[in-house]
Amino acid sequence: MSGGVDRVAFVAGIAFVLLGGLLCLDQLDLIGLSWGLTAAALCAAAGVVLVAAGLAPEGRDE
Amino acid sequence: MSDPAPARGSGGSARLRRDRSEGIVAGVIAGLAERLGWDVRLLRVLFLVGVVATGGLLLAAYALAWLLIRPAGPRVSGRRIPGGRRGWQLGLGVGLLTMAGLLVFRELGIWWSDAIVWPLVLAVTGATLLWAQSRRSAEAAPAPTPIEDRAPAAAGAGDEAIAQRARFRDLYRGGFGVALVVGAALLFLSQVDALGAARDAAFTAIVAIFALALILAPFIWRLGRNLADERAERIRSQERAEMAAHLHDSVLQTLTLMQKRADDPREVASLARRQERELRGWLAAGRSGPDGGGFSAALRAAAEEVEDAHRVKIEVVTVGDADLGEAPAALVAAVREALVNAAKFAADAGPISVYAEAGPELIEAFVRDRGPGFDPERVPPDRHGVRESIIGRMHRHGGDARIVSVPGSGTEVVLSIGRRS
Amino acid sequence: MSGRASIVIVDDHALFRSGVRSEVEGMVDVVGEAGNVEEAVRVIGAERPDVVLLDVHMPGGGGVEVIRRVAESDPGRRFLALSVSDAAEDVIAVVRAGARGYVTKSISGEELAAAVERVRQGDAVFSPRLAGFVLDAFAGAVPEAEVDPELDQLTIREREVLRMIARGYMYKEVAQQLDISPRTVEAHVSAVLRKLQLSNRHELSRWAAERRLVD
Repeated sequence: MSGGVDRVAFVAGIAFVLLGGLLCLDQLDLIGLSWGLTAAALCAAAGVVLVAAGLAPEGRDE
Repeated sequence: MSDPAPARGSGGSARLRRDRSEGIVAGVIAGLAERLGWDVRLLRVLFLVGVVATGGLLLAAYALAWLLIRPAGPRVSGRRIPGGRRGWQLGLGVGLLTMAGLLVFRELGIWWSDAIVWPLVLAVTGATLLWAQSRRSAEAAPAPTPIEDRAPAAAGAGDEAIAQRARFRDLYRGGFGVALVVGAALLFLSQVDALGAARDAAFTAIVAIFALALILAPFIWRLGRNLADERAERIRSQERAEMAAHLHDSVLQTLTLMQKRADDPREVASLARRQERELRGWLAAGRSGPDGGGFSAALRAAAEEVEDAHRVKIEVVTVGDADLGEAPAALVAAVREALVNAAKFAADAGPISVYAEAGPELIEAFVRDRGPGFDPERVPPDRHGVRESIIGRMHRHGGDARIVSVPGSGTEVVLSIGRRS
Repeated sequence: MSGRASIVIVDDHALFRSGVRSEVEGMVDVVGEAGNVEEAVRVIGAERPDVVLLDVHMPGGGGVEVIRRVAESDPGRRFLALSVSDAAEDVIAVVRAGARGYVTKSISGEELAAAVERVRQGDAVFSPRLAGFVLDAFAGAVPEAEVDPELDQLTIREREVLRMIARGYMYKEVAQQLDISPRTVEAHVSAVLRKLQLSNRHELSRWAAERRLVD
């Protein structure tokens, strides 16, 4: 990796930051997350990270 | 979230790896400890505390890290087994995303029935697995041009074992994908109670066809792509072969001509020179260069023309380049005159040198021969005209020309012109 | 240092090796020949010639590889690159690897013998084309304050000398024209060679990569 961004880490970071923000807003009662939406958000975050890892170019980390 | 997994370790050489030899479950903590330089036990205690504190969320993070972080240790003979974790990651990821999408729809009230959730997630996961695998095997399949890259026979045994394992894994994974898709279809059918009812036979068939299409689509698509690639490659190699044949022809012809004209050394030299240029031109066509229609290309072309017409050897050296505007074109024309002149009077005295330098403001050219030279005071009348055509031309375009000649040591024509006159 | 220079000819074309051998016959001693990198390293190690005539393009890494391998055990050995290639990146690569000069294969026997003698004395041999490449490579904008600006630029005098060589002047004629001694010309050319080899400015390699020209 020639100075470039580790795309998987990048995507994962963004996904988790968004997730964290969402959970924070929920905790502060600014929005009301139902159980279903929380699960959806968790699934989406994990899914995005996995897809990013799966699509990362081969040999990226040699 | 104290997720240990993917957001770290982008620090170049020392990447985060799972250390399975030291680890208890999958080596995630051990690998992390090594990467951070901390004590493993400390991290483990921290991790346990974290698990309790986050209500088990950290366990999920651990599972994710298990999936995402590669185990440490040398790869089998340095070559990666094609396929492997990537397909699983993709399949699981897409499945989770589907799940998330469905959940959101459900929350928003756009909803049909709970029956489709698991079948759909399973089907999508299976299809993704299949897609990833077909992509992998398309890449791993021997390319249509294995000439240069075929593995040497010596390394055969190890490669064979790896290929065997890869094939096995592909099969396993492909089978799993198919099972997922088919299972999803069956699950769906059983949930909507369609299996028993005869009136739903058509519906069953549609679902089955859909499942089959999901399974087969990526393979068919890849097959088409591979065929197209192969065709393009064949056309390319055909072009190369034609070009080479043409070249061989012209080289053979030149050689025949040279044998016929063996008694005329200048003719032979000129033939050889022309052939050399053709070969070089062919080699150069394979590479891309900045010399398109610029000044230095025009200068070279002019020199080659004179070489051909007068059977002399001209060495051209250029530094920098310029667009072929009016001023540079005038300079090229003057160089050409000077070359013809030199070819007439100094052809037998070794090669003629042309040096041109395109600076930021000034373009200069030097044409030097090693002929007998002459005394500028006593210029023969027939040379006078040529001199005028060089000097006059340069002056008309706002440039300058000088002719320096010393009897016995050759003549040099020095030309210069502003980049824009 | 007296007598005739001993040389080893390294080229993968046997026809060309025998051609060179017959052309320089009587002017230098050809003590060995080699047709590939392995053979070259062995022969040079055994014969320890004054000068190695080195083809740029050969199977197995070419002239650059020969220079690299020989330099591991015998860093003082002197190389003169000889090539049909006019590609700037080839020429610059072999000179930067340590060759003391570069001439094209169309050079005459006497000129080649003279060039060998110059390399043997530790001087540099620049053909007009190499001079052109160097001028081109070191042209461009003056680089901003770099670590060692000395290495990244040519002095005015060095540029003058290079320009004369590119115009087709012999060293002697250059000396005459610029009104300096032939030794001074040699010194300038050697200085340019050193800059070429030591300079680590990116422009040099980038330039060679961008040009990729064969003419």
